[in-house]
Amino acid sequence: MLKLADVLDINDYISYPTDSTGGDVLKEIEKSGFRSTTPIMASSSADEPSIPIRELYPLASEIKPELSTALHLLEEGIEDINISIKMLMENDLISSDDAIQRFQALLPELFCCRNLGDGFGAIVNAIFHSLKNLNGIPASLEQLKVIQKITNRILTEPFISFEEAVDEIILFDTVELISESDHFKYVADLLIE
Amino acid sequence: MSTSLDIAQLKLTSATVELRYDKAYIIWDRAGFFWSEISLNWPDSKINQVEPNISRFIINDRFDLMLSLDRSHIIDLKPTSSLKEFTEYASIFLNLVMESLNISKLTRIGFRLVYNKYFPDKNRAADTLVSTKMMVVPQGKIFNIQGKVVQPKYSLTWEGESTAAKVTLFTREKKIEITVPPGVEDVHSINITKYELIYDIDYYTISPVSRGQFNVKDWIEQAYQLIKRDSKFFMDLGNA
Repeated sequence: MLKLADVLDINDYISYPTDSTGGDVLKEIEKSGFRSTTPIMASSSADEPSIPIRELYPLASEIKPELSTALHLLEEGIEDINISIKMLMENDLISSDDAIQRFQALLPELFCCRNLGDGFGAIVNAIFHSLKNLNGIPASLEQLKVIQKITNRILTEPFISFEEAVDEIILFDTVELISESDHFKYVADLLIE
Repeated sequence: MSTSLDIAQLKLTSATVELRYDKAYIIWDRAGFFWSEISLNWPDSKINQVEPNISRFIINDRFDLMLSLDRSHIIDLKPTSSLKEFTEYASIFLNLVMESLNISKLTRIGFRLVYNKYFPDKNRAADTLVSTKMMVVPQGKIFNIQGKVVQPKYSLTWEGESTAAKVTLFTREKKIEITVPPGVEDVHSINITKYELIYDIDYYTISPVSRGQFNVKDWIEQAYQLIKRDSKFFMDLGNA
């Protein structure tokens, strides 16, 4: 039978967020069928860019010098990688190799910033050995692009977890970059024996 | 008596860090595991509230931990000025939140500090806030009242592209009344009125933050340093 009228308890439709931070308590109508006149905190979409790392840690140079150093070196390194890619696309192999060698020279100092996290250290270590294991052969375009991608990742996410870092490092295999120290194969041989 | 205001004169009464994220439905599977881990870390933790979408524990009558579907927080109700213990607890708690709920992106991180200062009467509390010159207070007879400011409140949100801060300064009268029923011996009723000035600052992010960007300890330290450094701009406009 059709009901002529429903009595609605408006309190069922209103939530009062605890707002431990976020200012005064706002009424937010969450259930469908009602529209709120109060502002509802905008939620982010997946496409929305993340906050720039320097804005998240504006006092890095004073409070966290290794973060400041790492960001500076990474920015410099990415510039070298970009030049290397550009030169390779213009078939200037020597200039491309020069640029990547400049980037390679930054890696030991970047490794000194590994206190930022295990993920950061693992990625810097992997890039270092990948380039070293090329044994003087210039990196291919695909290899440079993978190095560019992973370097950009630690520039935007220096506190990347070790598990996520490993997921990134695995991509090195797809472009035939060997990310482990050359000595590891002897250790592996010893362990097998 | 000087009526100037300085953050060094104020007492830190609570410190909070809150994370917000997209609805993490996995909370319905992981809440038990989560609080077991918390209990292992802090055996003194006690249940305060448990519902499907929200659970809350308290540790040593000092730390309030809350885990919910779309936000979590830790509040230190007895913070030290170094925030050392708060930072340690927050780091363990919030990293466990992000790990347990598989959070890869935070929609908002908030850091809120509340300071106070007691005054012998409400006029002196109000005068101190008015003396910051953050507000223009009219003089003379208004609304046919020859009055004075008794409960001033100043609030603004200072917003940039990716971070913002909401600053509130106000005075209030705080009453504590505990009435002991007749017949209860050795316990006395309490009836206290206190006058205090509150400095409440909420520093937060507007843009989303990836988990790989967020280091709890470093972020708290930097936010705290910024608040201590720049609070003078809201406390003594005449001299800032």
